[in-house]
Amino acid sequence: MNGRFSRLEFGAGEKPEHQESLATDKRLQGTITRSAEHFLDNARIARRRGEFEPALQLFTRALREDRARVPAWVGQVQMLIELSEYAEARLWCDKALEVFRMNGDLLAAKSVACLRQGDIRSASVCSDVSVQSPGASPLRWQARGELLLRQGESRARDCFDKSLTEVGADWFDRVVVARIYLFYDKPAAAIEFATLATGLAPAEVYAWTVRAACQHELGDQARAIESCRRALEIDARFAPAKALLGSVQNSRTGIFRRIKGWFR
Amino acid sequence: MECPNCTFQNVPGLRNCARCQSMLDLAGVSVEPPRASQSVVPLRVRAFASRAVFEAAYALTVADGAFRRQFNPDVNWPALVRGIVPGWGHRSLGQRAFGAIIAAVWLLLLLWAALLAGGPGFWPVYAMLVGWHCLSINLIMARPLGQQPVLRRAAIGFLVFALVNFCLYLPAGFMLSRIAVPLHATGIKSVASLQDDDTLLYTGAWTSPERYTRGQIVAYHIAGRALQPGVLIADGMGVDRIIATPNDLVSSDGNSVFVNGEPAPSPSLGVAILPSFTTRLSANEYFIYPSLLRMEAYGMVRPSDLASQLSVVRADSIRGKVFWRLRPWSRMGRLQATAPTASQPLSLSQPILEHNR
Repeated sequence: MNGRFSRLEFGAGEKPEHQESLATDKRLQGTITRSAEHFLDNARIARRRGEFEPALQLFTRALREDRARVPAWVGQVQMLIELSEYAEARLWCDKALEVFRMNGDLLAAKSVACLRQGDIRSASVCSDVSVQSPGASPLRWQARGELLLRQGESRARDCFDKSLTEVGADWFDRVVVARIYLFYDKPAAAIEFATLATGLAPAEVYAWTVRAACQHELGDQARAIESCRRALEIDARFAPAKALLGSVQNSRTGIFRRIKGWFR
Repeated sequence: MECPNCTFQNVPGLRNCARCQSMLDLAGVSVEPPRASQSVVPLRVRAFASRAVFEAAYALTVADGAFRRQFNPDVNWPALVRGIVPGWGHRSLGQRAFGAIIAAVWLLLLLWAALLAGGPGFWPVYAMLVGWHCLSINLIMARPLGQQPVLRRAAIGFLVFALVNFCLYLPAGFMLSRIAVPLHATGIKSVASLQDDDTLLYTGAWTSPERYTRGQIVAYHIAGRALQPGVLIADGMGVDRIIATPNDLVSSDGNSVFVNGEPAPSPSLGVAILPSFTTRLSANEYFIYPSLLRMEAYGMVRPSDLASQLSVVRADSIRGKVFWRLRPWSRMGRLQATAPTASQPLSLSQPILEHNR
């Protein structure tokens, strides 16, 4: 019975009481904690900084510790997608679905992988099943929204809004939505979510970087530079922000970008 | 034992969850995901190719969506696609009688066009045929088209006509011309049985025999050539019977033609003059006495010159075997080949009429 209740959903910042006490006990004993939870937390932190390759490695390490961690499997697939390895993501998702049948989050991740590969039919099926499966998460509605966005449906926005009302949705989910819009070359919609993310978490360097990317895509180079500088104020060594700042400054006078901006 | 997927409490010892069938024993499960770096193709190339495929598919979707929004969502696309076959689209819309009328009129026009093929009356009927088909397609779109401005309606009508004509009828005509080709015979001067304005069908590129036999009626191309200074035979098509095949010995004593020493059909060009000659045909030559079908000579030229210089026809000049007389409809029928024999020589003065039924 205790195991069943231990998986109840908690608020974003909350943790089960007994886990905290366990960690405290180990710290008191002087042992170094290398549990699956530890790697999973670090993987999430890395992902929220846009460091997808380290995040993937950390998700894998978490699974080495505990193969029953479904979020780590989902995280692996998501990182593969972020690294543009769609075929591998789909393959790995199929493998994970063999272990965890009809898991909603895995199905949502597979939907995204199929979609990025251009297989809309499979993506649609996966997304349908994912939304109908028990449980709820922002990822499912984000995948649904991406599918609709890909099909040119205006209801995509409703799905993204729905994803942000799910339990556990925070600034990073707004960043994820902004990046989805950016992927489909819709920076005007993306910047709205990126601005929301920076409003919710002004100290997050990755949120500012994504916002800068949106502004850069929109052709608003001055604001993109400002957002990059904000990001670098928070973390001066944050490589993606540095790289983006460089590319923004180089492309400031690009004639092609200006012409592209006229047609937006 | 709790299922990590659905949190169902299973009886210890089970390998799969009793509720969701997820694996409970994960000890042997690999957790190392496959990576693109393990692939032979570099990741950058794969990413580029994947992005290119995605962009192409995405552009198609965007274009499709824009077209649908711009045009009208009320268009019944399945019925429109079925409209490729006249009447079928209306049938799928539930207008069975109207669809049957459209199909019947279209079939009549098609038959009429087929009967007029190769003649000057063909193109007006062809225009009516294509126009009727386009009308039937436009009627399927009648409601959404009615909501469009006049200019756009006209543009769509023109687009439908162009699509039907260039993507359906002209390719179909091209394919048919590989099977049978109509030839409108005009300017017949010497062969009484073939009359002016007769329309014949000869075999196309896909149906022509590799070798022709004696007695077969063939359509062949007469390349323009100069017989003597100031005299030019114009390009044209000839329809005549093959008298001798490759490697035959052909001779004439001025009155009759002999093939390998046996009498052959006596050619008649409307004059009784034949040149005296003896020739051995090469491997790709046929002997065909020209009937001056659709042939014009510029300048002064004697028929005997034409007979001697145009009778040897190269195999690649022969377009096909004439097998059907299409018009006049009163004499429509099959044209059969009959090999000439010494006992019953064929006369070119009556080459076709006696074999056409």
